[in-house]
Amino acid sequence: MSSDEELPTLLKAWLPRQRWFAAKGRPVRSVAVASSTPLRTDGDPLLDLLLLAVTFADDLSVQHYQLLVGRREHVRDELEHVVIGQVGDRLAYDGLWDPAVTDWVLEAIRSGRTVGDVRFVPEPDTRIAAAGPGRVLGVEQSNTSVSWGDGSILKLFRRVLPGVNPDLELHRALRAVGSQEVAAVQGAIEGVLDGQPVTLGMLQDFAANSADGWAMALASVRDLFAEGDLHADEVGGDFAAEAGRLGETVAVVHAELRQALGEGEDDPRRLARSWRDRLTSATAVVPALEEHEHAIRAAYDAVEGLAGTIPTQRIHGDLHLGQTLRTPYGWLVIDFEGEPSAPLEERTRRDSALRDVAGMLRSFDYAAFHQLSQWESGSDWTDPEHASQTSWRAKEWAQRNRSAFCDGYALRAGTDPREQATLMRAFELDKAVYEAVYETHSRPAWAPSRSRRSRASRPRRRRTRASRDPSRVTPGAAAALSGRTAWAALPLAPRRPSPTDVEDECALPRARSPRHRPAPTWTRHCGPRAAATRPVSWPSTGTCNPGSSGTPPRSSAPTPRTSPRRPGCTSPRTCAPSTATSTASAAG
Amino acid sequence: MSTDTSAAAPAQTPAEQPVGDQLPETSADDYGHARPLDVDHDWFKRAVFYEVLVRAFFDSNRDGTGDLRGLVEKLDYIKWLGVDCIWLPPFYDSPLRDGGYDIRDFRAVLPEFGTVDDFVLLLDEAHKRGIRVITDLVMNHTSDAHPWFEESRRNPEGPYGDFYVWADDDSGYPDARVIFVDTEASNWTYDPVRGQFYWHRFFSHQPDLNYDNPAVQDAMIEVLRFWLDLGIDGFRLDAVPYLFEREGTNCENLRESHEFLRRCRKVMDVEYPGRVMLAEANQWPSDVVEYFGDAAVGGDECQMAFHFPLMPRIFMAVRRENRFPISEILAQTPAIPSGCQWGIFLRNHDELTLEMVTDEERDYMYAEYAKDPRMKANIGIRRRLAPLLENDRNQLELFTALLLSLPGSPVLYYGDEIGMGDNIWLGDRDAVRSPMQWTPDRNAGFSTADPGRMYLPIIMDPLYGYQAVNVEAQVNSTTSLLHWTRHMIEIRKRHPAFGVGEYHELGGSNPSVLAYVRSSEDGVVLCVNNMSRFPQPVELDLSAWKGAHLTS
Repeated sequence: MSSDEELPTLLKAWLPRQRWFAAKGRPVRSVAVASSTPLRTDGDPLLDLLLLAVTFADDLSVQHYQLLVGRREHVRDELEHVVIGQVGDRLAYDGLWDPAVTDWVLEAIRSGRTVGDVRFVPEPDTRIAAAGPGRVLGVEQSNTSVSWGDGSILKLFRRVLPGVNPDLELHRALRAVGSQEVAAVQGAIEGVLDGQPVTLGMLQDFAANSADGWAMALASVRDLFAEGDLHADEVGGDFAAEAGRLGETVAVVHAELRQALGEGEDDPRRLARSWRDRLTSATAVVPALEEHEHAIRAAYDAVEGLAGTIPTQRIHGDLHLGQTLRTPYGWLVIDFEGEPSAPLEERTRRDSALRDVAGMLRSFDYAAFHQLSQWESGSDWTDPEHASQTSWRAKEWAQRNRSAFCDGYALRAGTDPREQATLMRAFELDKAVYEAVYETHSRPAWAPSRSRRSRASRPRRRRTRASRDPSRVTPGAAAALSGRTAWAALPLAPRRPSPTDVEDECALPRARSPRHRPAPTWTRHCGPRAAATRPVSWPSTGTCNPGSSGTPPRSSAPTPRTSPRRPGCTSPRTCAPSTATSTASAAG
Repeated sequence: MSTDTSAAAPAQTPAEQPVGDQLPETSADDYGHARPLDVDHDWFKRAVFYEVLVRAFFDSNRDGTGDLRGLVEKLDYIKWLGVDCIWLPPFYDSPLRDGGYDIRDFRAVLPEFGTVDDFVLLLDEAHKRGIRVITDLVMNHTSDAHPWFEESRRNPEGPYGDFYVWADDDSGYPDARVIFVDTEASNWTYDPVRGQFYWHRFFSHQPDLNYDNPAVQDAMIEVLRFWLDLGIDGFRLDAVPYLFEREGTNCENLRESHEFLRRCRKVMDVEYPGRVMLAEANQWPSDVVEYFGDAAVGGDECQMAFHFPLMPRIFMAVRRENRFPISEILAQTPAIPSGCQWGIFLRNHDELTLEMVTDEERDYMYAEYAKDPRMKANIGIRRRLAPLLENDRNQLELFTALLLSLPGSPVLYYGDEIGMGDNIWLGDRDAVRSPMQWTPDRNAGFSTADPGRMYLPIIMDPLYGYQAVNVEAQVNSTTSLLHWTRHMIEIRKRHPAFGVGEYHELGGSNPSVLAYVRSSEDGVVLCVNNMSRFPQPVELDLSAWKGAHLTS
């Protein structure tokens, strides 16, 4: 096959430009075809399923990526943007955008075909969408999804790892127990890599009429700030009822996972050890963490001192508002891939369900402060002395919805996560440490612009080392850590685990800039992450910025931070999406 | 049929004496009959309905109370607005202890409203303008002043002795809820005349008829025939879920009630084709669809039923700037038979009823829309649309647009087209029943009587008072809410898809946007509603209509 020589050369240039390429910025040494399965060998288009092995110049690691390569003599206009290049007498392109290809894939799953090592497997008694042109869904971070009407959605995993993907594994298990809280799996594409089974794709029920929890929460916060001085429970857009139902849904999913895949237990000392390991390696990446290391370690120590074991089970692993979908029938939890940077064996290990709860609770904090950080990007909302009315109200919103989520969770779970204050605190801290590293890795470019603003607007009030050292720490980390500062100022270490205690904790200022929101596996819906990674594409659907009229603000002057709040956000410019604002402030 | 409406027999009470113990009943033959409109079996699917309180619309005889002849005088306005069908709440003879829903004589008009002849005149004039008229018929109960009840309590052994539900104690049907929780402690009330308890699902002065008695069923069908003979286009059947009682049930939606409705429908179809029955069943859609009857024959009970749970959720969705309250209730609404249609509304003469919401949602609605406790009534909020929406023109337009485009036939409430206000200091639900505001003149142009004689005071507050809010001013201003509403009605009528089309929600990742498509053979209409007060971006999947072109 001629593609054996030509295609890898083309892919070496093409692959790093793809949004889902996980090693952006790293020097690619080589791209080789690890396996090629010819799916369509005559007619137009030809279709091959390739697994690519990518090596790097900076270390010895290998990453594997999946590509459905179509080849046509002529490609239509709408495929031009996914053309890889000329291979022999045909043009090769990313096949997912070609309805002829996606139609073939859908039918292959429906009929349960096997081609070489690649198996298309329908689930028993499932209803797969009728044939028709598939549609590639918006912006996605690590995978690519195609939907058919409101019937089916196919998620093609781009980076493939040996072993069954936990997303497929857990969805299958949840389908087996009849879960109504996840999109039912309809089928899968499975293959072999280096002699081990790999998951290549998953077909699911498609919740066409849905909005993700992040967009829902932002709409509520926007409504809150549009009112002059109402409390979070007084405005029409109050989110607490939804947050409560979301808590119920998560608790039910946890129960279903226990039912399907059993329970176990873990040693608190092992947990504490893993947290400490993460903290140690994180501090190397984010030196600003050192300042808080003592307090964080004290929280971990407190867990180590707990008697008995900690119940474990399979969990979602990377739960936040963006991993939930509101449909007309309730909430769905999606994307069970786990924390994508973690190795597979860690993601498939049993863990405390409180890790998921902690992830959601932190997500409410992000949502509360997302808009504020866009209005006043230079302001350190997490500063404990930052006493603006808006930041107070954002905290109140976060507290109310965190509580409502816990209430809902407790209603279904029978136990209130807030009663396990010591554990919850440690899990939240561990998540925060993870986020600090994630932000540092993912968005270093933001640090300078924000810090310049910071210096200009507040030359004499730099509270954290992070903000003094823009070259080393991202604004996200800075914000997160000044949040830590606030914690450290409060009795962080030995605490009595009591519900009131945790309730109290909800009130603590723990604002993070949304820019360090961890949404590593952003999926088929747009969201804050999508906006963040597309600095010039506007509008970013799903972010729900008030005043967003569909055109990017051209020259928005940074809002003076003397203004305590901006009721109703009357000027669209002050509500610009994060990206536009940061661009503007960088330019100014 | 006679076309001479003025030549009706003068007497409302026939001279002949009762036969035996039977009470005398008037006959439709005693009156003229209105000219009918062409028979059309689907008119109600495309129609825009307009609810008018006769008392509140226009006073033709200077007594301070609106009347049927007054309504006739204002038919041109209703025609101009684009209305296809007028719905009149009860205008029957009544002691008026429940806004006329306590009927004393099914075959007589409340004297202050006029006569049966006036009603025939109204029907005839309306039909002349292509407007249909339906009215409320309260089948479930009568006033305790109705001669049937008088006879029943006085003579348990007589022909009316079994017309009502009597019992020796008040222990029966304990599972039936009390609906008017503000005023009634029990569904049973003791009658000292007969020495027994009688059953009533509503006020204690409204005893329930006993539909287990075939004579009651026959009597009620004769009442239907009476008005249908005069030319009426249909009935809104009040409180239909409660017709029958059975021990061990909540006495709602019983099989027997449906059977009786089928019997009524059969009479309508055979003897009066094209006339409609509209069920007032304040129930969940999955229960209400039962009132459409057998889907296999396109429905054999009521052609229409009100969709009660939708209305509060429109309010919730806009307040939350989130489409899901609406998406949710429509997703839970089952398909209806081919010959049927929902009736949808924003406000009516009753309180904004919150029976069909969860406790949590009710608390939410009270908190958001009834900040003053006086605004609450029974299980609901007694306010008009404009004050509910803080007179926000954007929201008034959004609500009206939703009303005119969501699946179902819209029912407008008189005065809401000009953004009339309410008066929460009036008792019960009178807050939303004040006189129509026609002009900035005395009594808002509603009546030339002494202002002290008005049946209810005209709204006079600075924001909603008749000098600020009236038809005359708004007719003269093309940017007024009235003109906007009229224009939207016109757009609705231009596209049959709004009335008979399929409803398909488009979703979209922005929860503040409610987008849907109404499609029929005649065309496809895309409706995109921004539920928030801010401009919103939205991306919609319209690939199913690839190749279609946009017309407006």
